Amino acid sequence: MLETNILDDGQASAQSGFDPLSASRFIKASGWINFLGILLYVLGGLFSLGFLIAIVFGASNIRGGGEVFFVFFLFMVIIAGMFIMGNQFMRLANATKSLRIGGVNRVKTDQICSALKGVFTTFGVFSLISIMMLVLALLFNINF
Amino acid sequence: MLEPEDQYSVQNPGGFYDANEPTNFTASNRSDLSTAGGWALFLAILSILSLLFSVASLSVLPRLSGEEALFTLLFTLIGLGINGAVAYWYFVFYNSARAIGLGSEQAKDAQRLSSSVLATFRLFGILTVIFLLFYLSALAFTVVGLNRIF
Repeated sequence: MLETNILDDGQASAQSGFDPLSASRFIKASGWINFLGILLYVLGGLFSLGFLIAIVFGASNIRGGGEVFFVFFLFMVIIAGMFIMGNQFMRLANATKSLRIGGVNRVKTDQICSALKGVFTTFGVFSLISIMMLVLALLFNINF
Repeated sequence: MLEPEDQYSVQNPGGFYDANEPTNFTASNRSDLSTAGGWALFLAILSILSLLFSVASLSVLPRLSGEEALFTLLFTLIGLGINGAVAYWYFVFYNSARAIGLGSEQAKDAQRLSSSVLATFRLFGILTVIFLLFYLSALAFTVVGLNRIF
């Protein structure tokens, strides 16, 4: 049976939730998280560029209809997903990287918990959206 | 500027908690970790489903030739390993986040949470590097024409 003693935000003004061992692990993870965040930004930028080029140079070939709208929407979701996830990854990377300076404190614990929520939520939401798009594509028999 | 007593020094070896020492998560921390844990469970289920699809894809093996079958088996096994590892670390994250969300005050839960975060993102990072190397080598062979040299 777990004991419950949940502190108010004000009560735990100075204390950290994470111990130094956890902090050292977060510091180790921060490099990889930073790398993944930057990569997501770069890929999002490349996708946007590719999408713009496809629209500008392929505009004469666009005939309209459901498939074009679907692919357009899919690209928008992918690009938005990359930038939003990149942003969340960078938030987590910055929060974990800041542990190098001054150790763990209340503010950094709050930032890490909030960033972890952000990363996993956006990851889950975009996985859900991609599954829904896949199901839609299967339902309407859309060929890519 | 934070007071020294407000900070736990990472460098201080004496500052490491015993696994059963109490932690001090606030209500909002616990709520955030609960939400993150819930999504981690969803992602773990997706990884397991992906793993099952990989196993199901092995049914094509008898129809393939020797070399093709070997490559399909090899890549499916690699995929199974990766999916299994990812699902395992998501479950570890879910379990520790859920324990903290329910009010656990033991440092071991926070330590398990941090180790699952480290393992998950390290795995993603290493896989991404390997994927990028494969992709760049494929580009080098097809676009630059390295296949003419080798």
